[in-house]
Amino acid sequence: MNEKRSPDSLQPPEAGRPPAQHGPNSVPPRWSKRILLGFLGLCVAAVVAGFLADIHGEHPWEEVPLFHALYGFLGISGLILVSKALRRLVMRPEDYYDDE
Amino acid sequence: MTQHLPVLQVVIPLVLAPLCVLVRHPRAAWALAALGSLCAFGIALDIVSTVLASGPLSYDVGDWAPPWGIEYRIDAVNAWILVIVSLVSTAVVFFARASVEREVEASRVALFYAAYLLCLSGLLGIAATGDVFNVFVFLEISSLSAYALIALGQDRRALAAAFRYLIMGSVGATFIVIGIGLMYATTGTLNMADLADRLPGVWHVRTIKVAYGFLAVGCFLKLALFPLHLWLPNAYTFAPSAVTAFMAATATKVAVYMLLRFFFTIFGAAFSFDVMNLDMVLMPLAVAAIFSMSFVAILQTNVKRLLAYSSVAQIGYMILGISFASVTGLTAAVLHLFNHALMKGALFMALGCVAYRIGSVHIDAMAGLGKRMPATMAAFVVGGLSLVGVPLTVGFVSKWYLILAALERGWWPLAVIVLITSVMALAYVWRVIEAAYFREFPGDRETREAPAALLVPTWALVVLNVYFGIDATRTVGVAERAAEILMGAAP
Amino acid sequence: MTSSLPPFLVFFVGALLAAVTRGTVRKVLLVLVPVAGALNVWGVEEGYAWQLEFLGYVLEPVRADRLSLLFGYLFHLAAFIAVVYSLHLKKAENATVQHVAALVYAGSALGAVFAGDFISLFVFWELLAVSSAFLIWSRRGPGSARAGMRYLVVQVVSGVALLAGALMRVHETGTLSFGFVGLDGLSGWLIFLAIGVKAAFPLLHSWLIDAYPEGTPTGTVFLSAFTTKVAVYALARGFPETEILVYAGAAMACFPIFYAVIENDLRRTLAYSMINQIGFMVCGIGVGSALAINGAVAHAFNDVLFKGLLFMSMGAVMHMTGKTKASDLGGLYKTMPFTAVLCMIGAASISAVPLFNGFVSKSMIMSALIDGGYMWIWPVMLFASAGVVEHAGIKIPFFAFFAQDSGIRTREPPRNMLAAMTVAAIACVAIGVRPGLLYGLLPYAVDYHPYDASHVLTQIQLLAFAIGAIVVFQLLKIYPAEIRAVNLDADWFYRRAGARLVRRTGDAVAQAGVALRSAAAGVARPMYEGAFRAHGPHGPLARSWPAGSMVLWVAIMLAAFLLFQFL
Repeated sequence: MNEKRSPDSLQPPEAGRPPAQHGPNSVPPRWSKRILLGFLGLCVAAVVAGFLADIHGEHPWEEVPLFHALYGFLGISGLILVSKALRRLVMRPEDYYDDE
Repeated sequence: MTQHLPVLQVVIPLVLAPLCVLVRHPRAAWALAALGSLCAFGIALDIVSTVLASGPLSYDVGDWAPPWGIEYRIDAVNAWILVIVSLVSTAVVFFARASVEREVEASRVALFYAAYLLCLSGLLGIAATGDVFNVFVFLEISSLSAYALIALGQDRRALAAAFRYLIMGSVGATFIVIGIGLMYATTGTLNMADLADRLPGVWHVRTIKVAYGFLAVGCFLKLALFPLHLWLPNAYTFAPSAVTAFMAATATKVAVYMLLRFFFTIFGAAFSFDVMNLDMVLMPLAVAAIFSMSFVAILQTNVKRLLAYSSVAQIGYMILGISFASVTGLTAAVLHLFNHALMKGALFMALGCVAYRIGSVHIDAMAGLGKRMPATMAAFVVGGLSLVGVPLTVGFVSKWYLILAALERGWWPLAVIVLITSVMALAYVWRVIEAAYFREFPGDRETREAPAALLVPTWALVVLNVYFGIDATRTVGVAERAAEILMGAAP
Repeated sequence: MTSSLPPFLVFFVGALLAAVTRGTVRKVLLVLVPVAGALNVWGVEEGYAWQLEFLGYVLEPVRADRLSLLFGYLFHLAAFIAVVYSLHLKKAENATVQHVAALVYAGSALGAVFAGDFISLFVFWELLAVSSAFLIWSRRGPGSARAGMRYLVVQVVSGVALLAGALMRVHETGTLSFGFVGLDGLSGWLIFLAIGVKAAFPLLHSWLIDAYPEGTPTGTVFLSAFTTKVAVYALARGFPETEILVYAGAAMACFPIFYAVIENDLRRTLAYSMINQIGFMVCGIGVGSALAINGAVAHAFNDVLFKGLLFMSMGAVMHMTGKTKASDLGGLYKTMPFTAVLCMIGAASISAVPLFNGFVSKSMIMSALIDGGYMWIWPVMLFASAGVVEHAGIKIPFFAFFAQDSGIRTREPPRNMLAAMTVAAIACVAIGVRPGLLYGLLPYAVDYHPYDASHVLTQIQLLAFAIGAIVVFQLLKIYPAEIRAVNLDADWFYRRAGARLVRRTGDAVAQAGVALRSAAAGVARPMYEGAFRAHGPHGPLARSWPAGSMVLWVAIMLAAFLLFQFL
């Protein structure tokens, strides 16, 4: 799916090595499109069902419509962005500890 | 016959020693030494059961009644020491047959066993006698023969080590005899029981305090209390393997016994702790010994030397137990006398097996031995775990009582120190295990397992390490009894 | 029933036999041990105890109640699965060492959960440490040797802390019995710390991240099942309703998920995931209500199954391809379809998809948080459960089996591996579909119904949109790429900072030594020489000094002793 990229400020640790021998996506595009569509359907169904069914939350925040869907989406978005930032802080070359 | 057992215990090895020199034949001399050890061990077992059943034994040498004659007086404390010494001696003598043939010139083997028997006799004598001057005499007998035994080591440095030990041992013995002399000058008696009666009347006399100081330093030197231990590592390192095992398990133990006898029975716990503040002297030294010597042991590359430093640290545990000035503390100390004899005996004998096969006990030379000498190294591992204080070994029982004693006094930092230093012990034992099991064996030589003649005595002590680690009732029972006697809580 | 044997005994005897048998005989034996053990433990009833006296204290090496029995059943199941998984091992893979160590390890875990007193617990605690270290060393790489050593040191220190705490407790309370401990006083904290190390509390966790990925493919499956679960058990027994655990658990559930996003080694990703899951259990124990404790131990039970399944699937990949890094893998579904499906079942379970076992236990903890009034912890844990989807639910199967085609063409793993994974997968689904199977074993009576429309729908929404976010980030190509790299964690403090400190201190001491040497003169000199001989490795330099310095020490001692008395 995505090209190998590294955060801008860090030298790619594999610089100087030959790039990994990775081929194209292993799942044929036709299939991945079908899977994506199916997944989209699931999301829509979950939302619709959520409105139809009687959702009785236990936590006050659950009063917010579609709270779980929003929380899941935003939470993971935040998680990924923070992790990318974390990488700048903690990532070291693979042989960092090798001289111990 | 049986009433003579207390003295026969000492006399039999003493008489057999010159016979060794007369017969000259190595195997015959060995047989005499084995006979002497076995007799002593048998008698010690008989004595300890008698003492535990019916109280202290007293024997007047030549029927001269004390305090003028020499009395042999055996209670639970020294009966216990007699068992330790003769038990280790028996295990070592069986180990020595093959080991000594390899490490000592054939022409000197008979002399070796003569010195061995003299040393045994001296150590047993110190333990058995009830007369302070007699203590000095036997101390000299055991020390002089010990110098000779150490000097028989293969390494040229053994001679130098023995010489240094001789100087230090003589200084120690001199201090002790000065102390004895000063006591005699003040009280006019040499009998221990008699001294114990008369000393409270002269507590205030300065001479007695000086005598106490001389005796203390003399004993510290003989038992290798830090910082007076400097003679010990070389002596243990360069002595023949069997001698190291014997000395490490007995000589310092008997010196600790001397300390206990002088300061608890003769001077009395009240004088030692209330007047002389012995605990304040012993505790810092014990803690320093445990820490600094464990640390030094971690840095050693010669495993015999490593264990020698570990011995000094372990003596620190005994002294720590004594410094608690309580029955539990003394129980821990007396218990550790026995337990440490078992573990160090087993460890030094396992090292003797290694030396027998590969001629070196350097840690690098032991690489990969776990596969080549599995029984030997397994013995070392069990002995090492016992040294660390892993449950189901005797080491754990000792540490347990020591920690209980520390907590009983409310000194929990000391309990923590005991635990931390156990981890330090793990570190130095681990270095050997790591070399033996995790490094590759250098493929350029053939090495086989040590012969059964060495393995059987080694494993006998290993098994005792585990046995008394699981069933500690007997050892703890005797140690408690001894501690009560020493604290004056029981006759 | 009193005819049962102590549960650990079956495994220890099995280990002895495994050490002396070879080939098919050993394989049969290995499978029989957990089966025999399970039959044995099935006969053990509440109140079964086995006591002995040691040093004047009553020890209870075996004491069964509902809590220990649950863990007892679990460990037998885990041992059975992991043993089947490791049957194929050959001599070249250190099979004997691994098999024997694994059985001792499983036996020690059983011993620990049935231990009725601190001394027995301590014994099994240390046995766990030592036996499991062999599963790491057996991989025989240079990295494994060092990681195994670091692991062992940490575990042994944990044991020492446990013993220290236990001894102080004996002194305070006069009993060795292992029951509720609580955090009053130093002894409670020491025991807490000891368990905390094994449970991988934040900042005490790095041994797990460091060591588990260094184990053998089969060894890590054992490792994932026992050590941390013993710690969860010990917390549930000793520290229920200890509030600090709620916050510690929340921290544990959250911080690893960030690391898991950027970790390249998939087994290390699973190690982070493990801490995250333990976070849920610790949190539940901290809440301490019957529902929360039930949820925590049920989640421990399920975690062993699904985390084991995930570790097994990654172990299978590693066994067949020799690789575990996401950047090296991809496209394996073509040649390992069964493994891929089994891995996805594990991923669904850990993500708490309804009808899989993670759902039925995690929702208990979530409900208990609200019942317990932890309104601000609940969203945190909800975030953590969404995070699980990211690393364990999607990342693991995606990068190993799909993603870009690595060009690796291999085969399915050996049949025993597939069989073990299948058993675990069936268990995951069975408990997910019929939660009553597990609820019946829990320590407290259960009145909880995970499958109501509200629960199921909200969970599906959460998961679907969490995955949606990942898909969007992938499509926009801003999802963090897999990079061969090391990410710093708390182990940096002892692997780097500590090492530097030691080196610098060493240099400083050496310099001080030089300074002292040049300054030393007169009386100071022999004393310094004596000290040098005492502490340095022996050198032939100062051979003539010692006798002199020794006598000097004697003189000093005597003088000090006498002065001490007369001043």
